[in-house]
Amino acid sequence: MILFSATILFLIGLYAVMVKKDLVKILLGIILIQFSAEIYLVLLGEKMGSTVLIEMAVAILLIAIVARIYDRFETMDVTRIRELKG
Amino acid sequence: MIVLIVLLMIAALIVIESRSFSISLTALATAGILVAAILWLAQAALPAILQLAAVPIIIFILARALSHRPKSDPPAEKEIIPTVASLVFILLALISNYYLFRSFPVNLPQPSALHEIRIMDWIGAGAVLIAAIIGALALMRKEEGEKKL
Repeated sequence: MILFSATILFLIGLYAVMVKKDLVKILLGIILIQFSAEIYLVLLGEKMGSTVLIEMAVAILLIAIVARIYDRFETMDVTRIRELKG
Repeated sequence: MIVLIVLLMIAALIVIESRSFSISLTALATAGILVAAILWLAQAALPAILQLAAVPIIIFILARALSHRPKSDPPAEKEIIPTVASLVFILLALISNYYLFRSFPVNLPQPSALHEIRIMDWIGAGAVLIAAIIGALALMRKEEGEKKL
């Protein structure tokens, strides 16, 4: 049952990352995927808390990168952020 | 357990589909607390407690970093109040969870079992976290040179 919930959570996060165009929604989807990975790790027997700290670090860095992208492009729409393409 | 999982699915869908930033953040906090509860029920006490501690930090940094708007569209007070309210809600949820967990036996490592704790693992994770916070602060800081340009 827990595995099922982690899988559904992963799929919801993946849906956000693949479909949504707003950077914040994509970021929240990645955080949901991190939650599901955490549940998977606990199911696999990893019961130390260090994975939670690393996930939090990754989330904080992603937030900072999104904030910098917003400062530079003044938009959260990924279709309008074109300078990184090519 | 089934109730927790259903609530987690609903919270995750609200996080993704809500058009309000405050509601998304509140749902994200709820999802994080529900994940902590599931971890707790899976006999993983330490990750559950750390998850509970991580949720308000992530929410606070998200609210702090992403709630600003361009100068042409100043932030309305109506958007700030729900964010503060959601933070208060998260704090209340954490306090209530703390008292809830205190009433149950906690399977934290005993001092006699310290050799089982991978200390290097913790040091590495702590270093990554500190590096991430420093990097995030550096990334979010507005550069003076960029302003002059």
